[in-house]
Amino acid sequence: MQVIVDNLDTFGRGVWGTVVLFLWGTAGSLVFGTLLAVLRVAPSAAMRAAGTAYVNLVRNTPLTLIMVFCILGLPILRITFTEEVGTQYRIYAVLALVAYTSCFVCEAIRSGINTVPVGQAEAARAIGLPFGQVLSLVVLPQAVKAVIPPLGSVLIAMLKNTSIASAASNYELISAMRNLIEQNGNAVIPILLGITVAYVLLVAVVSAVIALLERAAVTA
Amino acid sequence: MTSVLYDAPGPRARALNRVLTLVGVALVAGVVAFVVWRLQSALQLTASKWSVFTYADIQRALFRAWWATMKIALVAIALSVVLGAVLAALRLSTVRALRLPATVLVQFLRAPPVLLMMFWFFYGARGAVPVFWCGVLGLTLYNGAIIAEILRAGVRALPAGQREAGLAVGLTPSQVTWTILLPQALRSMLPSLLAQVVVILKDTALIYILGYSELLRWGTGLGTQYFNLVPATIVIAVVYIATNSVVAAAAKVLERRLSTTSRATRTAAMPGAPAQVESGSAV
Repeated sequence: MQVIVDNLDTFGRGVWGTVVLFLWGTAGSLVFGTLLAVLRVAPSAAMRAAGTAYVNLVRNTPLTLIMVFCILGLPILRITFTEEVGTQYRIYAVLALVAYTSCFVCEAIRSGINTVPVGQAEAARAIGLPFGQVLSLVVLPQAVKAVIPPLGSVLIAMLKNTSIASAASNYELISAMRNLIEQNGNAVIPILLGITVAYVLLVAVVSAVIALLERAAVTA
Repeated sequence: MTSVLYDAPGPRARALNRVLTLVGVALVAGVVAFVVWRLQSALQLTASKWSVFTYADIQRALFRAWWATMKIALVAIALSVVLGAVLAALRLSTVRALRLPATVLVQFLRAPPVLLMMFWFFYGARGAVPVFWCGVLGLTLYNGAIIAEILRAGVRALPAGQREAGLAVGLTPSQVTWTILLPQALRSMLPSLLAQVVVILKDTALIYILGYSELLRWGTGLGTQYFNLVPATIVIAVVYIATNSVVAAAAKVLERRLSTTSRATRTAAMPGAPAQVESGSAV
């Protein structure tokens, strides 16, 4: 474990990179995934078809391929965001994570809405609530409770998927690991162990936060 | 359409829906137009960038690359099912000394990314394990743990009488698990297992990062050679999507057929049951 202690700065940069990718990925995929979910439950058939098509196409594509397309393909298509190379690759990686994870966020939200029995909405309408209140007071609060556990699984999977960003010139835990192994060929096992423990701890933290949110939603 | 969100539409709602449909169509058309315009202005739609894929030897090479990916997937699937069954049997064991380590192992194997597990073998064995097996073993460890959880959920959804009857006719607990419980769980959880097959198929692309030549590596190699990286990635994306869609469609058909015949599937497919949580975590 000495090797981790000696290279705490490299290790810390790796953890930070993973956390940054995860936070941007979470924000982006929650927004875009909710938009997709709105499309998929929209009253118009064209919108539903558009949402379904996107989800079915992207969900069946490997994230590695999306990542590779973002870093190799987008520059060819002259889709760039900044002059600064490091930031550019971070944006590409976050784009890939968001494009992919949104599909699963969308499915989690949609299945959450579907767990609310139709009778709930019918009863709300029967006592005279308008559409807005049917949604905000009756349907959505129940949907949120059903949505949080699967959404949590999706976000944990995304946290692990940030490792693929190492193939997109992003500095995170896997890049830090490869860096450390190149410099300390005699301490491969402790480095692998340290990186594994870091991922296990990150997953544990995210799971704990989700469990807290779930409890808050259930008691609310 | 009556759903929890909308009532059956009246005349005003139908008019509104028509407007929404128009907006939706315009939106999709706009996105498609933007993509085509981008491809066009970056000269990615010229015939020379795509004609490569009409060559017979390129098509054969594409098929070989696809088969390389399928080989990783098939070996990983076979090993994962074996590992999953063993871990599930251990977790269901009546012996505490077997149950506890298996539980810890399954929980642990689900936490790190698959890519890191591949690197365990890649760096940990100092090159003693061929890259193909680094990929396969990484996939196997992770998916074995997930499949173990799926199978366990399937066993728990079986009627208690199955186990009791097995014990009553004098089978040992492990015989009951292997010959009565697990085969039934395998059958009732087939849709979830096929969904996991799609996950394995997609995750084979991770071995690209280790430098192994499979479909994705072949595609980027071709793209570099013929200066048609964007068309090449689009073509291999289509191959991946087609392969996975076939498996996903098979899962759907099976699910429908099983749900009419088996009670276990319905219980196990209820939201909140472990199997559902698994499919989410296996993104």
